[in-house]
Amino acid sequence: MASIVHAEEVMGTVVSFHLEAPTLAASDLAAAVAEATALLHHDDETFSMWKPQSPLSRLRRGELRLEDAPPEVSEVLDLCEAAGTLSRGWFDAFALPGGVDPTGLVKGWSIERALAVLVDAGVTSAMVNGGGDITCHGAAPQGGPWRIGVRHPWRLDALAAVLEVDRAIATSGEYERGRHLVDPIGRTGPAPASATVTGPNLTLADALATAVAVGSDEAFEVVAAIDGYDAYLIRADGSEASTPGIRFVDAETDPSPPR
Amino acid sequence: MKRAAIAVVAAVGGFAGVLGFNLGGSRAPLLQGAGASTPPATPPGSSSSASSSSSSSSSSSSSSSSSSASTPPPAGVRSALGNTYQYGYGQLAVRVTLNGSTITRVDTVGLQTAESYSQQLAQQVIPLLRHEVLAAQSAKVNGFSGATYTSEAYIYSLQSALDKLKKK
Amino acid sequence: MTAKPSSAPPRPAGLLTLGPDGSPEPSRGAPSAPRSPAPRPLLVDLAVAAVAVGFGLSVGIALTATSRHQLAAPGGVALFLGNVTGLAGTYLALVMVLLISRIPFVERVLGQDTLLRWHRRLAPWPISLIIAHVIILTIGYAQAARTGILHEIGPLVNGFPDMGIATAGFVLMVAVSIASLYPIRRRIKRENWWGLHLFMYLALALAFAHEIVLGPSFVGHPMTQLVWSVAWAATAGLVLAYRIGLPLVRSVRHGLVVEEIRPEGPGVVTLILRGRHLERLAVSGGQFFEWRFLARGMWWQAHPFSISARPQPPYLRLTVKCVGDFTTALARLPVGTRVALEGPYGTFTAHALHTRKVALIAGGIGVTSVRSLLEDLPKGTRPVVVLRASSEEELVLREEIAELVKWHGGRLHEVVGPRTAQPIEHLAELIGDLRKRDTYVSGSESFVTSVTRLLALLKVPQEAVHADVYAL
Repeated sequence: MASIVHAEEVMGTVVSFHLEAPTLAASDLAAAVAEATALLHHDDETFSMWKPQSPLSRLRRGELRLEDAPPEVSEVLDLCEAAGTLSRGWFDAFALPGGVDPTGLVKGWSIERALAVLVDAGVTSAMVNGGGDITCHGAAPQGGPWRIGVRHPWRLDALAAVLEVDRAIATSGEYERGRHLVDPIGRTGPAPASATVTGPNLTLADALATAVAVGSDEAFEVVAAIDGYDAYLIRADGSEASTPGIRFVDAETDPSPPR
Repeated sequence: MKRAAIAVVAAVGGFAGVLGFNLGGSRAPLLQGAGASTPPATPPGSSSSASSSSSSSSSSSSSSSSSSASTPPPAGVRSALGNTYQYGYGQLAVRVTLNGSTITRVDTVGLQTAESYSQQLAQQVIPLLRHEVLAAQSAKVNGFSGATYTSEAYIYSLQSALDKLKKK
Repeated sequence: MTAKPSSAPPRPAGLLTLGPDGSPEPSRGAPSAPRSPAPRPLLVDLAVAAVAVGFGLSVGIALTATSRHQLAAPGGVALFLGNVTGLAGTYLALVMVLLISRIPFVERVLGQDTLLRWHRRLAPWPISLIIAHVIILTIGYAQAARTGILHEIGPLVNGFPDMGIATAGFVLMVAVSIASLYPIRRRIKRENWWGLHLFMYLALALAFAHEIVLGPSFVGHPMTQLVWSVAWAATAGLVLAYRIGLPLVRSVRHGLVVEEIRPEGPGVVTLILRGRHLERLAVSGGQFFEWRFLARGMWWQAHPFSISARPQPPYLRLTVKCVGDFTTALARLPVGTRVALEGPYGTFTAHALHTRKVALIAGGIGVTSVRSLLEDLPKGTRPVVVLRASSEEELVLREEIAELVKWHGGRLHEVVGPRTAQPIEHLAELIGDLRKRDTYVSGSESFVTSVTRLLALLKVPQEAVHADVYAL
């Protein structure tokens, strides 16, 4: 039986892999991880807004036509449009001047692709965590669903909640300092402190978490209506809301923080 | 004239008072608390959304892994210092101590920032991260959603420390 | 101080016809208003010392907030300098506010004009330090984040708590400061400039939060946070109490209305106001109020005018020279117009006496404060009064002055004619023993300046010269 923990610095964050593959040889597992991380780097090269020569940057500057760009680009842009429609505009990759900005979605999409590589290779239990955007496969090492702690937006020494998750979870919001999200509709008002979305796919969960972080209660209702996706919102005033599908781990059975 | 003299003497007196207070050590936090232990946080942005803003060091990709299958855990207590990771308004490094394959201790060393606010944030974040690493081991929580730059720097440094231990 | 103005002259009969023409003189048995309390210079010395200690403390905590480790980190030196300039500049801004907060015990010793002069002299320091703070810190943060200076502005403003409003405060502060530069200020109408200047309070308030949340001397130091907050809250309280609260209470209590407007000479009018409880309005002869006439188009501006007689309940009197739009409109105020007042202010009072004898020199409309001061001079001061005017008609209030001088057993000289014909040096000869007297000078700025310069030449001690400048 092979298990592996691996951390990869990519896409401006650290992506960690927690994998178990009882049927795989250690070398096969290592090869699968190498393939998965290579894919992450490839996607980073394609979609980086910070590398001036990335296909996305060139597309934004108008130096590259969409039909000449790598096929992933149009795939991601299609996904952005779909996410925009699904979120009724609260996720909008096309809102800002300077061209399309798919960063609210592309990390989740890329992590899903990496996970798919691992699952194809025979990994039976996997968690890929890209800076808090997490996708899981199979059962957690302790058995049953994965337990994911959601950071408390203000109390840095505590968790807001621990959730049971089968597949994907993404959290967006203001952490450590200031706000960093841009409301595509240009509204002002207190942004939520923390917006978490769970669901069967991290690509959409990532985009929807961004949407709720911008649109607060209105976007929350939109997510609640999307089949399979659930939202957990902590508003700027500290009040909370969650859709029925959010599974909290009870405090008594939760041995983790708060301390 | 007289009042000017009063003002100058009083100002110098107040200033000397603060210095004396500090040098006397009774106000240790102002002089010491800052530099000794902790690192800064970084600008917002990493968690999940709008900005994929990469920190300065993210262009260089590095990776490390530890596989429990390929290498049987060595016995005894060992520790290693992770790489220094720069981000936002500072940098930090982590020292990890293992007993066998179990992480028994995670310390932050080489924390450096010039900026008090970042320093305070990091001082609040890092105990959580330390707890997180130890708690995650016990498999009660598998991961954390809503990451920050500080935590990324922390995890990265931790990983590099584990990596060094594995290679020893 | 040898003479105390405790025994005021009994009012010469038939002189003080403060009441409306034709009506009998107001009840002579009525209690007269008390004088403003005596100045307490020692208290002011203590206050100056306390404020200066505060400055020393501020610089001290700014200097010691940065550890050697922080200094060595990237951007450390710039962040250190930026914090020191910020804290020192902000503390001086607090001093600026205190200087114009109208604290009565301070005003009584230093006088409004001195406080304003200090305020103006200090002004360049806080704003320069705060501008330096902003520039140096931007550089420091850029170094710490290893990014460009311009690139760092966005994250600084957006990425830190309370920095957005602090930035707005800074922009406001710089704008108001530019408008206060003399070449620009003199092109702006006084009332407009004053309204603009009020935004400085807003700017300081906007900047406050980021100081506490981000300042290295405050982050993680609840004690300094508390002291700093209390200091600012107290300053704000003083401003509210003495610039708004007290004037409001006094105005409501006395409920002054215009009773009569009487021409006094060419372009000079006397306003007689009627009010309640004037026997409780503590004011000394020679002092002034900031007056606010609650009429259309006038209510929002306050103007300083001296009282031209001590209050004689239920009447209060001021005499005004009509030079601008505002003062000209005063002469046409309808009877019954309500009047609000702020004050009294000014150190041009009998409290200032150092010697037993007095000389009073008034140029033009400067006669008004001399007139009310004469009422307050103690017996035995033998005042020599010199009234200076360019024509006979401009010698307003001359009969009242003559009567008061006679009562005091003093001398009155009226010097009439263009300035060229009556050189200022002539005044000294008229009085004679100037060096043995306290000399009170009132009038336009140029008049007061030339007289005080003359007195300095004659070696009259500076503390025996008291000036009251009229902005005309």
